[in-house]
Amino acid sequence: MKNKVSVGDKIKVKKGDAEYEGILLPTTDASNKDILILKLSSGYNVGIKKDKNIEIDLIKKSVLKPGRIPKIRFKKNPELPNVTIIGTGGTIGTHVDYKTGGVFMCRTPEEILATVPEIGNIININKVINLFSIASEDINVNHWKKIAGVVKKEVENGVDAIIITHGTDTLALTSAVLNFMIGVPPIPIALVGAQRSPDRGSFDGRLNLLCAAHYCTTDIAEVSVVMHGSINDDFCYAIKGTKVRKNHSSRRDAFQPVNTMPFVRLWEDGKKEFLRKDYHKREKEKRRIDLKLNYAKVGLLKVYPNSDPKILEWYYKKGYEGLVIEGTGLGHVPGKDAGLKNNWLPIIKKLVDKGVIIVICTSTINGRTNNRVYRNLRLLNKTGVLWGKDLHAESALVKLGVVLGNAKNLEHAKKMFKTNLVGEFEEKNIVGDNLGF
Amino acid sequence: MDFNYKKLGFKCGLEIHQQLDTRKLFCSCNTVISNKFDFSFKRKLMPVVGESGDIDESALNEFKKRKTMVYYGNFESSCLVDMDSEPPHEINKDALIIAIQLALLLKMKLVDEVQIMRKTIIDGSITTGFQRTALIATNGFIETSRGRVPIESLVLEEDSCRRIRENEKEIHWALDRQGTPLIELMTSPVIETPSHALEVALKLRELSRNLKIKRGIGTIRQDVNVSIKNGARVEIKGLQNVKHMPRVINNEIRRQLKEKKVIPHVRATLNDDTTKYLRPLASASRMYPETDELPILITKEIINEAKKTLPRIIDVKNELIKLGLNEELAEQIKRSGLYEKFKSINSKINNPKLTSTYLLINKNADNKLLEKVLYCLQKKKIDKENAKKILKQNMSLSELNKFLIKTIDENELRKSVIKLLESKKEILKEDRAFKMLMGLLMKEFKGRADGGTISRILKEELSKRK
Repeated sequence: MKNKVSVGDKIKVKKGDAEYEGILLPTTDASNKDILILKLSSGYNVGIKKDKNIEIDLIKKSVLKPGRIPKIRFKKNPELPNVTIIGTGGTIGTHVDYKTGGVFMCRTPEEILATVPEIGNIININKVINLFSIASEDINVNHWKKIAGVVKKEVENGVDAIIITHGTDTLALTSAVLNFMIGVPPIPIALVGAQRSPDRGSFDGRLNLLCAAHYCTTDIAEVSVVMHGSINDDFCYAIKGTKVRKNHSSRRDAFQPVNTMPFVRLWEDGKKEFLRKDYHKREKEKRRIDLKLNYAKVGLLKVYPNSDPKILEWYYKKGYEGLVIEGTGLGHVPGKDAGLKNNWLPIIKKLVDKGVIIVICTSTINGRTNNRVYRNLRLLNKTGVLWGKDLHAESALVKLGVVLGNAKNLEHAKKMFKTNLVGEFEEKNIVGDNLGF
Repeated sequence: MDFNYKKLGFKCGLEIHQQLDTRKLFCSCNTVISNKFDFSFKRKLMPVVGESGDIDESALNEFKKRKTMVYYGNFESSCLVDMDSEPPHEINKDALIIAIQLALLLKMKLVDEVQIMRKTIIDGSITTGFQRTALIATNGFIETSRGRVPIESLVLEEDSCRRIRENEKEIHWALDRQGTPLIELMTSPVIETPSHALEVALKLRELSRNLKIKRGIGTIRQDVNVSIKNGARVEIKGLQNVKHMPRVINNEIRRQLKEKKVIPHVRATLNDDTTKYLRPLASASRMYPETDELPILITKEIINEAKKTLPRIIDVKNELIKLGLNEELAEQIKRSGLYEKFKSINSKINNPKLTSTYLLINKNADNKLLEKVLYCLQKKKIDKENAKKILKQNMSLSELNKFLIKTIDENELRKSVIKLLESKKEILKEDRAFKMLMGLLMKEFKGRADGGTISRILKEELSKRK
């Protein structure tokens, strides 16, 4: 480049007989090599390849200034609950700079209000804590510990409810693990995400946030996921964090209850339809939370025709203390008839005997495991595995991680796993589909 | 009534939206319009906070009154992408290639890397709340009778939903049209008269019809921007019939002349070619990158692919002139859509003027009949008047035979001439002998021998007798 131009400058680019005038934008990692991106006065961006024939002239320095989030102030209403919002990343809780197209995190209550202004009529946003800003596939145990720590502090500080914004991919796992790390909380805690970005009019996080705010006004003191209940923008479900799963990669109603009924159906206008009565009620006085922050090395795997049980030995060598196996149907693993090399039973028994906890769940997601109706199930049961019952595999995984991390010994861990700690096991299988109707 | 447009300071530009005849731009759904719906769903669109951050209580109350959008879809023409429940698929390459082809035909400059943008649309006509749109090329032109009209930009974008109905609480939309690829062409505002505007619109239509575009009602939408001296830009939308364009523009000029102060705004066309106020001009659209799509490098390979399937566009009139027709005949043949027929027949007859003249007598006449008539005319086997009659009535070939001149053999003719000369010896002495004899012969052989041959033989025989 002959002239020194920098991002934000208005420039003229000549290339052969083509000529463009516009503002130089930063190149993104999506762009191809040696491409200049210009924003033309029409609003369109174009990419121009830098080569020998290119002539660049500066017209004006620093025309483009980064956009700012509009400032909106709402008076706090003493009658509304005080809610802390914890940001962890993901699509929700971000704001788009329409000038540059950049996406950045909301940091203050005002910034959240700018995205969903109506929320100020439902709750007082006490504070916004931006813990971290990562895509949810990058969430790991340390993030869970940090979230649990902040939740404890906010509960002890006396907030009336907490909303945690989170990427959707592992949202259900975070909500499940918080159930086990925190235990049953004294206040409503809502985990909320968005399947579509907040720059667009069709942002689904708007309804999710509003319904999460409505959830904060209830007496349901549970860690729940609050997300769209249908493909329409009509209502959300608050579903117990241990019994919810992301069952679609992109639909807004991807989060579905597994072997449970949602606590409540929430509408944007504040209408609530309670679907259960057996939830834990809000406790005004109790403010203590005993955290179970240790998390053991646990893994999750699946059996399938021709699957090789020797993989279990690898896990053992790598120091895994617990494994969840998604069996087929009622919880089957390939047995003797699968052939010598594919018989999982002897190796499962070997690991159990060495002190690894193996939990059997079902790959069907819905329904519960059974330890006796078929011979193979009885043989599997004899190896000493634990049964996930109606808990789906991801929830069983995080329960196992917390239980093994915090138990006094192996027997204690087994006992804890079998115990219904926070209401994660339900005695009864509900009739109907995922939505429970 | 026409105006002196130059004196008026008339300024006019066109914006043409043409649907492409492909699958959808960002998914593989078809683009067939039907009123058979398999499913519906409801959405509420979020208020978009202005860059200034102007959202207050009153704005919120306004939002509460906003209507619910109800969308209707058909499984063949809509999927989760249309429902804003799945990220867009990769851009439809067929549509991209058609856009590149049209850019090439308009001698435009292709951008090096296409950046797909989101243009904010908040009326509910698109489920996402924005329209995906991409600038493909700039700086082209089209030749017109008043010189070159620059084509400023060619944009490839997705169409929006069809509005079905509306009530106090809801707006109902059909999803089938949403996502159909559209090409938007924008001319410079250099169009000189209303009929010039029509010419430009027709020329652009004619050119794009060489490509895979949709035809029929609603597949092309043309907006006209009109302003006059001391006025302001008024955009006219919804022009259904392109032929009414000059009338609509003239009506708009008349309207603007009556106004004390013209404010920039958008108008909608009415059935009687007048217009009504629609809304203020949209301020510069809020456009930002479509982060769900990668930028597309316009490589040599893709340009070559576009060129390979680019139909050869011929300037018909020019070709006809090259074949030897004059301006007027070339124009007539072109306008009557007879270029192909002309070319095929003339390749056998090899007489462009004759071919075109008789082709225009009845453009529906049978090709074989026309060929035979032209052949007979050239061989002087048929009378011109009869030839016209045969073509007008599109007679059968056997009927044509009845009109053929039964020619007399040259030797027979010579014998007859000699016989006549011997019987009319007295005439030979006269000064006007040739003329008189010729008259007699023509009378006798009319329709059986042509005058030239008779005259030659007569001259030869006369000279023998001198």
